[in-house]
Amino acid sequence: MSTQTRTDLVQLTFEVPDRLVGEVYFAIGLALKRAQQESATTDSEPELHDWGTESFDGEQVDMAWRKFSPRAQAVFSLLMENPGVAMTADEIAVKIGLANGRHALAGVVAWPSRQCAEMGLVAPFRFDAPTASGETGSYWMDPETARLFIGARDRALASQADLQQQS
Amino acid sequence: MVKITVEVPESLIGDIYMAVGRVLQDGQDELDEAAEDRRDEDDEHADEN
Repeated sequence: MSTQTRTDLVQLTFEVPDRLVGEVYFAIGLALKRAQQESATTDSEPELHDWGTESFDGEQVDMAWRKFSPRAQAVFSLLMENPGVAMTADEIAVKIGLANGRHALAGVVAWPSRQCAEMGLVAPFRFDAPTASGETGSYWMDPETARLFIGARDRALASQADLQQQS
Repeated sequence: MVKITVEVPESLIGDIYMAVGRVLQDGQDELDEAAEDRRDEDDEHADEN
């Protein structure tokens, strides 16, 4: 994949299997349309807030963690164990073992972003777009978000251990 | 494989990556499932023989 910047528009190039070309174009069109609709209704929609800025985020984080897929939990575990450290998409994909690299990673974190938005919160990760052709974007987690999610993961693991002991 | 190029607002790069990533991941999952089904069928035939 490559990028080429022109004013505020960016050219993205993807290499996709022949059979998925139509679906990829459709997905891109849908994403652009959704963004257009969202910007049209921004005024009436509540703004998403950062993790750790409201007192009830501590409760929301447990709910969010339970909703995430095992793959998403693995990605976020890697980020929260390295708070503030930006990792490239390819680097994360290799560490987690995602077959399609950066594209797979983008897919893995897509749902958590929506699930968090439904709760009025931003995604638990930050994404820095690539700045040059041939580079990949970077993902990282801020320390406060990492602290919250480490707590949620620990509570989830403790709860699972309790259930296993009971059965 | 085919190279496709799209021009998008800079602010939407993340969304576009996610959208394309999901399609590629779903496509890969389908292939994996089909391969698994084929293996199961082969195993069944092998058992029958």
